[in-house]
Amino acid sequence: MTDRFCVKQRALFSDQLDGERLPFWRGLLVRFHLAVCPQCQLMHRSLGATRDALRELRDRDPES
Amino acid sequence: MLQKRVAAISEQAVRELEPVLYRFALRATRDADLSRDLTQEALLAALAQQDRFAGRSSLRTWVVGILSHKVLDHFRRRTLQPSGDDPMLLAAPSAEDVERVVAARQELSAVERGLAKLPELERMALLMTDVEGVPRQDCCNALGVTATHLRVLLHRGRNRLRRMLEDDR
Repeated sequence: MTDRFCVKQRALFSDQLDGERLPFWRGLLVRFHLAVCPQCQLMHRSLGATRDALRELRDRDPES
Repeated sequence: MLQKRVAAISEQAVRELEPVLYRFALRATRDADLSRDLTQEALLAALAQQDRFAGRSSLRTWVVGILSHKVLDHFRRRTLQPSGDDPMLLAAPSAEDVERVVAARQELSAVERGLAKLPELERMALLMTDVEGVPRQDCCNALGVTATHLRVLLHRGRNRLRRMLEDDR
């Protein structure tokens, strides 16, 4: 896989994590790519953990 | 067609909303005095406009939307920070980097620090969608951006924050 191809898939990871509807073949390509690309798997997991960490802030007092 | 009547905003609701709004404003602006002012302005605006609250979203979401407008008005009165291009998508993280991000859920101070460093509009997008759980369409309306622009803001903001958490020592 080229870096450019990975970058194109990674641009959709946020939408995919949020359950946003992607065009059918686009969504299928992202899922397939995640199944076969270990680098993108790491990126996807990291992005998901980032989003989950943000959710933890909801009822927490921010530090001054 | 029957019009849905929504109960007026109670004093109890205002007391419960105030810390929520203050937290949001403080994360958005990093200025405690300004955040207190913006919180008061948002609550007053919500009380003045409560007949417009149709109950399609939660009261919290609706008032956070009002506050977002106030915060954005404040940002527009200042010079906006440019949000540059993001080359972050080329460099994939290592497994250790990812574990640091996962661990960030236990160390939320790192997340707070990272959030404070984001460009303003990206920070607002993440605060509204990820922290407050505001639906994307409501977030678009509050921020005055298209759905496409919001996708870009979320994409860039999350990736910037992800990189900061991966690099955090």
